[in-house]
Amino acid sequence: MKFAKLIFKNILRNKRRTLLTVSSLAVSLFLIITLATVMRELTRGSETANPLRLVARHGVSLMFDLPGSYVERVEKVPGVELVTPYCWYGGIYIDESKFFAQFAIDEKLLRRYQSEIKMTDGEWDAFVADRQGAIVGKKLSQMHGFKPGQRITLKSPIYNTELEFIIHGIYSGGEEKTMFFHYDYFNESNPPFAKDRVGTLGIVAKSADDVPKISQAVDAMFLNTDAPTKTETEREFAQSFEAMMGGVKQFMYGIIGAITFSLLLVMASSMAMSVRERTAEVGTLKALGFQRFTIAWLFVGEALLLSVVGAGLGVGGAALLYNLVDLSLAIPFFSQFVPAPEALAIVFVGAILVGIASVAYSAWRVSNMTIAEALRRVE
Amino acid sequence: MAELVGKIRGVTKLYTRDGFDVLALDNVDLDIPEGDFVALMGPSGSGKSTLLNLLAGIDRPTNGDVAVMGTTLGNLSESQLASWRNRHVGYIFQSFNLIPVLTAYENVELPLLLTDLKKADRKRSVETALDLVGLADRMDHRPKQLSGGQEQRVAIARAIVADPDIILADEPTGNLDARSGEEIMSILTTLNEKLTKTIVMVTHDPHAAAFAKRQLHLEKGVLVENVGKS
Repeated sequence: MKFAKLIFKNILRNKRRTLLTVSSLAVSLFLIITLATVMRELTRGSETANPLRLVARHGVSLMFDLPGSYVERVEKVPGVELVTPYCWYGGIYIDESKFFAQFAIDEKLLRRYQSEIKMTDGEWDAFVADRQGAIVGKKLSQMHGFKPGQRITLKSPIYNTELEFIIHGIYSGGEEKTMFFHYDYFNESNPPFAKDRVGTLGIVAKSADDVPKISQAVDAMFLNTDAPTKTETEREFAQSFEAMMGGVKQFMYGIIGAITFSLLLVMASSMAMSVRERTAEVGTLKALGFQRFTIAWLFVGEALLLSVVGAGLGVGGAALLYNLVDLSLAIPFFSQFVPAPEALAIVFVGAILVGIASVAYSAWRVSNMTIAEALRRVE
Repeated sequence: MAELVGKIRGVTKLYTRDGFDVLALDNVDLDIPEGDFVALMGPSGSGKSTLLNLLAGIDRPTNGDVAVMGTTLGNLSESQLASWRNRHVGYIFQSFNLIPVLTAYENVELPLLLTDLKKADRKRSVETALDLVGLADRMDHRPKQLSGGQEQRVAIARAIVADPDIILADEPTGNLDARSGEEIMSILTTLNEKLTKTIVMVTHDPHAAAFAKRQLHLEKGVLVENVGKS
């Protein structure tokens, strides 16, 4: 602590350089946090998947649908708690820029199927009672101004239908940018090719032990039919979507690595300049009796302080901004945009390590110079 | 007879520069009694600063022994030498070598930061040292807010604040005008005469050397003349 003032004053010696270094650190860390949050959102589906839920889809491709009769047959499989049709509607609300996800489900089972969805009993009852009823997530209602009682019309280019819905509830929890409506209403309006068909089946198992058995039993049941199934856990289903992104994740890791490396170079260059300018002062300090480790730590202390301030601004700024402003309202497909606490901690600690690494060589070199050699240096 | 503060025996210092051997000191013997004020004179490259650096433990001899206050410096490690310097040596540089971002007070306090002194004790010592060099009213000034003479006075205060056994000054008036140089020499004389501080000073300036009790002349690394004050 005796040297804190010296460290602090040395940091403020060249205010412009300090400002630029801290700024580049803060901006880079902000960018890293942003990318890490994007990656988190891209994989949120698999991370928040319910372990008791399974999804059965056509064994060939998700592009093909399944016979609606599969619902009743799967219900009879041992260990199955419930089964609901889960059909993507793909309707356009006003225009394509206002895209959001809509699913036709068994309205009576939705509450049990997605227990994370929260609404009042009155809203649930109203939704179930009205064939045209729909419920929307809280974020979706914020994005489009949906209110209970409001009528909305969706036009689906997949089914070539136009359906009118009445919003009976705004739910919170789960995926809040989605709309759910009655499967029967959807099915009745469908053209012949889609009549009594389901996109996927949503299954809930009675226990975790039942999950693999159900998966095997369902797929075995439809193995030699026109519509074989592929039944997987909700996590695996989400992961198959994430796998469609291919190397995006690796690409983003690459960008984060490149930013971190360039950050290291920027800081190392800044610290090397700072150390070099003070070589003669190091000679003076050594002549006064300062040990080389003390001198090295003075420089490391400066880098640490710079890192902490830069990381505080960058990481703290990102955490604050993304918690105050919900960017998911502006980004389709992202249900949230909140940095993970562990990502914030890792980036913060990483920034400090980068800070130490950036000065380590310069500090070691200058602190090991002889006094005479250091004193001769005039920058 | 006064106790010896510095004792140099058979010291040779050989440098290798650009592949050539340069003999900076050649078998030098020197005794520096307590309370002495020695001016080391001689042309550039005669080995004056090398001798001063050997006494400060900043450099090591190629051959021979340098002992200060009974400690043979050659037996100390780099780390031990640094601690030893802090406790026993006050060093004054030609270019003052103050830390520009620190105030006069903070510059003088630097050597004390390496001791176990508490803040209040450090404050007392720094104020006393600055008072001694007549800069009690400039404590909060940074080096660039001071004149060259004042900067050197701060450097003297820094050199004496830890109450060293020996003060080593390398051309302390070399960067100063005549009046400031006179002030600096006057302070050094006071330190020597009133506080019985042992001082070894390297200088080119005969006027500055005249303040010393003894003048030693070096020529090509050899002590050629030892002149006492008449």
